[in-house]
Amino acid sequence: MPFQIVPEPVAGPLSFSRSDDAAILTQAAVLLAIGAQLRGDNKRFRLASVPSAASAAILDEELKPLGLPALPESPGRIDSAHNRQMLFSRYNLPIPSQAVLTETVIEDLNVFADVAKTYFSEGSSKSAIDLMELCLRHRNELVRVSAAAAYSEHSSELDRLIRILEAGTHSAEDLVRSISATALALAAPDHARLKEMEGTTRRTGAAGARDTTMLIHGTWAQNSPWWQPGGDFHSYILRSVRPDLYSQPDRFGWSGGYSDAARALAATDLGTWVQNHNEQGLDLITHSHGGNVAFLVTQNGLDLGELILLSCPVHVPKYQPDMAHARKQVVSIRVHFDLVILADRGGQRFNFPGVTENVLPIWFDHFATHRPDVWRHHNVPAMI
Amino acid sequence: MWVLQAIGLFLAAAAWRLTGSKRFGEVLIRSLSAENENLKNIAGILIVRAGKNAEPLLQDALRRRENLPMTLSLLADLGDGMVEKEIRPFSTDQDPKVAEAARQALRVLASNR
Repeated sequence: MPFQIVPEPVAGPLSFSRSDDAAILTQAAVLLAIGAQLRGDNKRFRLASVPSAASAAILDEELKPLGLPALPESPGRIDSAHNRQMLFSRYNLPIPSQAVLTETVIEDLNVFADVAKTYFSEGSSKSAIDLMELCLRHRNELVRVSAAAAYSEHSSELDRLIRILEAGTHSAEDLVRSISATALALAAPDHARLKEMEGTTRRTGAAGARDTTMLIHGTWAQNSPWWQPGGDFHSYILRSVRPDLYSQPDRFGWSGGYSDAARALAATDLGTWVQNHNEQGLDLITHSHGGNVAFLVTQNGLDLGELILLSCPVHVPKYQPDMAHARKQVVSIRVHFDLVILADRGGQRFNFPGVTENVLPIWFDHFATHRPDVWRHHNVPAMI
Repeated sequence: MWVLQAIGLFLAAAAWRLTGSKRFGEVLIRSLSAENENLKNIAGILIVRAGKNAEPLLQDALRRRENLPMTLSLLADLGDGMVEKEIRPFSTDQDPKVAEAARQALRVLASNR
């Protein structure tokens, strides 16, 4: 059963003494944030981004309600077996021998609450590592996989964490599967389970639907001919780039409104369109804010295939892809100093992991990226 | 050429914001009929960014049936539910593109509530 929507996280160590949805989701968020802090993600993001872009891995205003203490970047992997022995002795928990592969669940929530209290009051790397170690044996699988995901770059027992993540990829819960698969892909990119999952998706897609590409227009372009069957860009893509381009009269279109509400509505409508057409892993070629509609679709939990973004205004973190639902590559193609994006006050480039940027030697013109002559002249098909 | 006109639009928007004079807003409204898509989009974005100030100008344009269906969409983008009664009659317009834009605009307004 999906988790309830949480309007506000449970602040401080209190969440670790509870087992309702809000507390479980908060625990998962705390653990994943600890992992990011110990990896030094925020520092890396800020160094790599221009000062105006909101490119921190986790925004400060989102850390604040969790009451998380600041953590220094961890120097490397710690001796997990030794650390576990110390921690378990402190709480009189049975210490398993190394030969035991299955993790025994710790039922006593007081233990979690106590370790969390130490972490929130001390704010030390040691207490953060203790919390991750303990949560690997939590009763709830979301907490377990979040701990394993967070701990994967700091523990000396990577195999053990990979086992927990692999188990998580079989979960009935979307969120658990997404976190597990993403963390597994980072910790063990060649893991057989990832290939199996990819194969499962492809087989299902082949059985349930065609390989399909679709064009999604941007703001105020709902009546523009270029993206519709018979339009110049549609005809070019169909003939020369993607013979699987959707060309039926019931193609997807949206209001093209210039507001968050219009884009959110479009994402919901696209989800409905995909379900009605039994499409799975639809490839999208989007223009302008059509790309941000596609991002919302992934945030709504719908799997997409390839995502080709033409002149997409960057509004991270409001609009960003959920990479767990973008099954293939995400490629951005744009021009230099796009004036429409300037008016929109969007960012001109993605500085987001998993998005490949291509800037054409063209200036200012927001609409150049969907012109067939531009695609031919600059060999855009080779970029996708 | 259009790049210079675009810069002119940015300047008109800034002047509108600073002086509140409708004359500058009208420059943007007129640009909604530009053939160049960049100019049309820049004008549209700057109009939405002007917020409430843009509403009377768009209502006038709606009465004159100027730049439909974009004017309908822009009115909805401002997010003011009060314009619903002005948009609604267009949802049965004889021009199917105008009727569809009005229906979409009403949906966007409804989802904003």
